[in-house]
Amino acid sequence: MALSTMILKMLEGFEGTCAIFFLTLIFSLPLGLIVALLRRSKITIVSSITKFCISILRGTPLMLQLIAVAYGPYYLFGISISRNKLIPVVIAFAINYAAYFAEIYRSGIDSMPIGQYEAAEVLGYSKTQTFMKIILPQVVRRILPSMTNEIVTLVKDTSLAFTISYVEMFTIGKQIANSQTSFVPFIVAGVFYYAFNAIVAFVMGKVEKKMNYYDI
Amino acid sequence: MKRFIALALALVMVLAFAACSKAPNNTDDKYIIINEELGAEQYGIAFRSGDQEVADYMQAAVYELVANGKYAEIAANYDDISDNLIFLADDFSAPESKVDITKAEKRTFTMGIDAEYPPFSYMDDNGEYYGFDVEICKAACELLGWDFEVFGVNWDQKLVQLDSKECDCVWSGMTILDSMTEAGYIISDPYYYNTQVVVVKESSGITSSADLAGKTVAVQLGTSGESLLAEDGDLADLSATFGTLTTCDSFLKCFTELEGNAVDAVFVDLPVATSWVNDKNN
Repeated sequence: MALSTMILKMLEGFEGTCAIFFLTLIFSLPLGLIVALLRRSKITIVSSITKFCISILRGTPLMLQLIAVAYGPYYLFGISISRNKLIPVVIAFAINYAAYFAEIYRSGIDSMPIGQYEAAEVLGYSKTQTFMKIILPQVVRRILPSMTNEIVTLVKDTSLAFTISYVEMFTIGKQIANSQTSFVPFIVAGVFYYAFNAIVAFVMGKVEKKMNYYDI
Repeated sequence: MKRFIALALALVMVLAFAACSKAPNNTDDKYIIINEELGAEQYGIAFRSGDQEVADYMQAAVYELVANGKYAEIAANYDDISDNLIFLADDFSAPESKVDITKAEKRTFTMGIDAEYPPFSYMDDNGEYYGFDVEICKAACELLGWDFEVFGVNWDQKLVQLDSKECDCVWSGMTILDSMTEAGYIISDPYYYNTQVVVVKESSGITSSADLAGKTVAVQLGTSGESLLAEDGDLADLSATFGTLTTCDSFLKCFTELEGNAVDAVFVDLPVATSWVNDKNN
């Protein structure tokens, strides 16, 4: 197989990789914030349940969670396995990444000095206003480097989706490697992932620069 | 609300792991095998290039097992496959041995298997590797006085793992492909006639490969079925009629998808299909 055909084939699979990447971000970024707020809740039962869930999601392999989401409902309740594998893939990824993002958000929120809350109260801001207008923008700026870290990991983790027979770039790479008894597809895959992550790092760097005026 | 969803999902997860050992009994589905002798092929053992001596000793030991009746004895426990064993055919006679098995030097022989490939190689109820190929290899190693070890390979990387000396052979219902000899691997004499078959639910109404048009079909990555159905494979015309062709990393996952209605048919080797279907229908 010519190198160009190989690259074209793998580019087809790249759509699947991108679908996981963007959908996971769209769902897990807001979900993570909700989880972070629940985790910081003053009601002990809410925060401890959230803490427990996060510990499960962070303490078990993503591959296992993928299998649980895709095949669990069938084994437990006899519900048909989804034909569109993107659904279980995105559910598993979004929940897993929300747990990680939640902890990052929490670290950011906790790092805000209490004086800011007091000042906002004096100025007549409500609690919601304080959080949305004063705290959150600064939190976003502070957590950006850790977020970049997680997002870069997400790009590489997309290759796990093959576990439940979802077609993404690495699946195609493996198939080609098999039929051609060749190692080249893995090198191509490595270059693809690196290029994707270089773009992610570049974009995140730009965003960080843009948000610099929040620096305190 | 979110925390309930999260909690429910966590529970599903925990329970799923507990329940994964047994499929649900809420289905009375029967499964059938459609055997149109697609892609007739043979199983063999792959050795590293350069390991000619090891390959010769192993081959000689297997023929010795055939001669002394041990081979037939082991095969008797595997009804599903015994009909297609080449060495047990009436008209089979073993070629003259190239080496004297009593002169084999003591060594450790690591057998590379796909641990999810019953009845040839799998993990039994006690957690030990077991199966027809494993028993034969073990008996052959006993004859040669070699220490016997089993190594579970990642099937789609089996030849890479063989090259990197993680195992000394790949012997696990492996189809002999021309590309293997071309790549320099030493392949044993074929020991099993295999064909590719299609497994479907009886209720699906599929009775021939022609009925698969527009359907979703699963195949295991790295198997001969996958290469046959690939764009440049011998059955490319057939696979072109499929709605979707999905690849799973183990054939058990293919079957799980069939049970859960995610696919309509599984394309798989005959012995594996027979063993699984018999198990399911009883």
